[in-house]
Amino acid sequence: MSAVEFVGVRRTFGRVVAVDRVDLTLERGSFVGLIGHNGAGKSTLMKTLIGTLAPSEGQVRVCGVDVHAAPREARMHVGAVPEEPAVYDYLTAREFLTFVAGVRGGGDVEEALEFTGLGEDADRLLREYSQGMRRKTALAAAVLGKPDVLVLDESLNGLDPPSAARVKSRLRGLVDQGHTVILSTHVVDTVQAVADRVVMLAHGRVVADEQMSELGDAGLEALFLERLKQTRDERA
Amino acid sequence: MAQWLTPVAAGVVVAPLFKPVFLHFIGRPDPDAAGIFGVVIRLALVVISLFAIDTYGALIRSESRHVLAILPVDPGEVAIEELADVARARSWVPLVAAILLLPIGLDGQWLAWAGAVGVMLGAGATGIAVSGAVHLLAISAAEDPRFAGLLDLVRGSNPREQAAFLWAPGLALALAGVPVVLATEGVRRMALGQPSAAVALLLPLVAAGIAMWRVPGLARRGWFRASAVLADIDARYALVEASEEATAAYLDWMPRFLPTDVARYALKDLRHGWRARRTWISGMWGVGVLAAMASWSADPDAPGRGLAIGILGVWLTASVGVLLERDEPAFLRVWFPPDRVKRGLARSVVLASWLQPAVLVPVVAVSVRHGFAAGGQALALGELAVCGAVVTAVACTRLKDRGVLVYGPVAAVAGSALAVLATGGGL
Repeated sequence: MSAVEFVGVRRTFGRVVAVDRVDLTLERGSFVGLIGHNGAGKSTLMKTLIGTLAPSEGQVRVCGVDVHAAPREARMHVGAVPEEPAVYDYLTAREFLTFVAGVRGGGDVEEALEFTGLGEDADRLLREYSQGMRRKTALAAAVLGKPDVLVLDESLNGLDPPSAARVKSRLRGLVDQGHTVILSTHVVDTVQAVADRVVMLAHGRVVADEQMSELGDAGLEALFLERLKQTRDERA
Repeated sequence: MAQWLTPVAAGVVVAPLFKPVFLHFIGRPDPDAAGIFGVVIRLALVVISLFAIDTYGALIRSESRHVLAILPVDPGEVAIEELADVARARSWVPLVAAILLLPIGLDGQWLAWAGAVGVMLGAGATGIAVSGAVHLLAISAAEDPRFAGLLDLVRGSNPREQAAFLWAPGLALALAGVPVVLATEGVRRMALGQPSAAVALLLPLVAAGIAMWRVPGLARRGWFRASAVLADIDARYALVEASEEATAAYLDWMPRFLPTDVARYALKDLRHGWRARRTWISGMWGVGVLAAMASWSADPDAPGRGLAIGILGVWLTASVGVLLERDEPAFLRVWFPPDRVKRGLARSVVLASWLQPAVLVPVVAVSVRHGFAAGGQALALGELAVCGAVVTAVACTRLKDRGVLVYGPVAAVAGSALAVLATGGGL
């Protein structure tokens, strides 16, 4: 069974087509980078995956469970860091993670803190945290209980370089254990550094779906720019 | 306990003003029972409405939703906990109602007073539970194609899905209102010396119990989906706002009749107010209609009661003038200092224009039902309230962020005094 399936997913906002008939299957144990220009539909697609937005057409399944028909069951399989992560400001990071572990029915809080390097600040109130530290907290909450699928929407943005390196290496470790990570970003270098597979979105459509190992010498950025130009030419 | 302190203190302060306006029947030779029924049912419906709106905030638009919606929480437990939180946060409501209604007991009707307090408790319980169930049902209705036609009829300029949430408090009020009306009838009978009618006080609690029993199931069906529905609604609103841009505002034709230097500030306030406090401003029409309804009676006291509602609305909404000042970033005041006189004049005109419906609509009603002389008196007193509220609000804007702290108590005292004057002034 696949980890994630997007089947004919289309999402419109009035006349604006944010995501246009996306068909994607992500296998277990893969690290997928989702890249695209600003407004390409990455976040919209991620929101349909974590269930905070319903597709106008099509279906999204996580580990065979329809995200919108069985929302709670689907969320058992998913750890998510949305583009703008929300936390309870009046809790400390440790308290917040303990709460999330309770909701998830388990999970090692200390391990999650160590995952993101938040250990020393774990007993400070979240309202005192910087934006980067809040993002780390949300990431620690997402990995609690090691869900089958980890959805990260622009989640490595704003992390300091040592933290980003640490998180990337830990994420790689999770993938090696059979978990699936899908990282949405517009930073090509990040995807190039960690992903096994890259999916490119442009104007809501998948314009490239490649294994990183099969990319030529020109690299990801060149492919991205070429496909983007191609799509814009087609639209024009 | 601390959360009770301010409302209870406010209740104690307002109680002497509440009596002449809403408990005017006390001490009259005719029986009190009908008067007690009238005031208790009105207060109970206000309680249900308050809880219906709070419940929407808790179940549909709560801050917690952002945190919980991506976690595998049990929506049934979340809904129960959110409703319990509303009950805790508003636990002062029955107590304040009991204080406001105390003159009924002091008039010797202690049994009726106790019954009235029971109705308030029942209204709170049924308001929370029935509203909770209705708001959760509204999620399904918002998405259900069978309701599309109906929702399109009543949505106005809102997205179809939002229409379900907009009308849910009204439906909750209607459903929760039935057992509360029956319980209030029980209180009326208690006032007439039938203590066995107290059994009717149980009806709202039974309704609350049934609704609360349904809440977990409804939440499991719809609570998660609400996030997707809300995302849809917000996206549609964003599209509407983007297309209308920030230039269109209620009464934006008015500044063309003002001198250019003043018109500039007036247009800025009209736009700022319309963007930030639209509900308050358009709510003046609602207050006006409510005041007109209260005036629309052959009872010689009706015009005064209607005008009192309008006056209280005027003083409440004039606070928007103070809030506009508070909204403004401090650096703007320093870098682009306004001409105080022209800005004050513009704000006065804008505020006075926003407040007019609360006065003019009941004045029309009074003129039709009680003649132009009474209408003229109502107009004079209403415009006096508008002038007082506007001058106070504009003066308080000078105090920057502290303006609200000064305006609140002044408005409470002045507004209540004028309302008392309206009800007792022979209008």
